[in-house]
Amino acid sequence: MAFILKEVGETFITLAKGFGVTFRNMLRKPVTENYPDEPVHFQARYRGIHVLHRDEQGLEKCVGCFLCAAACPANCIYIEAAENTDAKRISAGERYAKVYNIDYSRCIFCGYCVEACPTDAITHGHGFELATYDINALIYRKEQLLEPWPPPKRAPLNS
Amino acid sequence: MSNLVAQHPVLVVAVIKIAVLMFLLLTALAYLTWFERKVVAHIQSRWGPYRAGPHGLLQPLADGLKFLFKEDVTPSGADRFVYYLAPFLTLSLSLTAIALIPFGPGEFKLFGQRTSLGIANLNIGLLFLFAITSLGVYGVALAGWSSNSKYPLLGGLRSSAQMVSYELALTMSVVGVLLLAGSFNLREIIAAQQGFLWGWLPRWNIFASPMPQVIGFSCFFTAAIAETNRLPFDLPEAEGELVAGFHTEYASFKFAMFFMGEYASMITVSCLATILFFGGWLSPFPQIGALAWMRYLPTALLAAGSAWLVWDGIRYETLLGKIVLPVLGVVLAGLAVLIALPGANDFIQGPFWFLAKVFIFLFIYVWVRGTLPRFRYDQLMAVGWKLLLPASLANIVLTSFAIVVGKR
Repeated sequence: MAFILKEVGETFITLAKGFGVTFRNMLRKPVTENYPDEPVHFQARYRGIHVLHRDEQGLEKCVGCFLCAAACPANCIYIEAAENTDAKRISAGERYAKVYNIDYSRCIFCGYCVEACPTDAITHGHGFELATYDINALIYRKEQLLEPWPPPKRAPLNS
Repeated sequence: MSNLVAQHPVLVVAVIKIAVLMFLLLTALAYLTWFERKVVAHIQSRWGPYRAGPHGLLQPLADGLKFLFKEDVTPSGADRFVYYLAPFLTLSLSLTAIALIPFGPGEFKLFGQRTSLGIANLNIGLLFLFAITSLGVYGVALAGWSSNSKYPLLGGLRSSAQMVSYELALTMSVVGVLLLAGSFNLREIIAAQQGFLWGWLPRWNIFASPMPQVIGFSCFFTAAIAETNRLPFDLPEAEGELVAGFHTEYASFKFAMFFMGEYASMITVSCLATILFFGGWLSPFPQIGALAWMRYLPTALLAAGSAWLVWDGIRYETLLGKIVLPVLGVVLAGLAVLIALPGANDFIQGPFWFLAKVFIFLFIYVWVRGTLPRFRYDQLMAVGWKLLLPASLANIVLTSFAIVVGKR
């Protein structure tokens, strides 16, 4: 008899705990994002569309070293490098990327290019709206990836 | 018309009452689905229906229209007559059961006929109710068999076995209540629960002396969840194994009929639990001076609800919400004033407590669904036969003992 009562009591406590969890959860705010109506909340380290950065003078940080393309497991980065001249200075280093394409139909957003970059020129932004009707539009050119200059008042990729 | 009223006043009054109850019930059914989806969604940290109308309030309407306009497919080789009969049977039996539920003690006059809240008042009310609800198994079994498809057949078989097993425990668990009340009449069962122990504890059957029906209620509610095929006992429609169980092959409005039948039996069972164990329309508060303000509780609740609706409506994102929610709030405020009037106030007490208790049970139904995972089939049978049935039998024995000893 005591055994049964103990089991009934324990079962009751277990049930109360479980039901308590669901009840408390019901009173919490839902975590669902109202995406098209409201902006999405990203984690800080979310890996979205890449951003090519500039330094304080507005020169491109990319020095055309091809390390990102070498690190890329999906082979989606295509670079053509060119020499900087005093008349036409694009980056602070010796060379710069004349063409810098990322093929987003192949990119797997692994972040290896960001790790490989010696000048921190490429990082992942928070852009994710890549959908398109034309697969050719998924090849992003340097102009599309580059930070705008002069920088706008409000950062465009703040989440 | 006036001729008809003069010749068959009882009939006309009954038809009017049935029409009104049916309208209210079907609306309640529709919004029960909305309520369930909202509560389960919030338990799972989701929003639930949110887009069709403010707070998804038009979702039931959208669902209904969708069911109506879907293509109605009949599988080849189905036994047509039985296939069409099954959903009809399920829905009509579930709705019939509601006719026996008394919603309040009050009486009102219609065409010179004194009539009570509730359609039928049978002396064998409880027996009839169990007879009707146990016929519900036919709807499920026939649907499973007539679809000429393997998943519905297995679902139908399972559900027949389940419903027959839990039927026993369900019926046995209320015997204690019958012993205490000495009547099958639902109104008399409620009347027998009147009064207070030690001046504050209501003498509802769940607390009643000499034998509180706690075991009876636990068995009853568990068996009732199984009987209505709700989670965690929704084995007949276990989607992981049986697609959708007995209603796999049903589309369009025939599916909607099964759906409505399930929710209607949820309401019936909640009403029954209220009547048998929680004193039906009886207020949980004793009639003493300090608690006299309790009679304005319905008004206060409605007023609070209306204030919240207006407040929420003004801040709502969409224009439709900005209009609809405050209008609803104003309607509720009007109702609150209406039921505070002296004549209406007495009348509303019974139905208010009854509906409040029923609502709590419906919430528990949904809460259980949001908390517990589905049973395995052998566990289901083990719970039914090895736990609920012996426990409810023990409850009968203990209650009879307690009554005999208590009378000494």
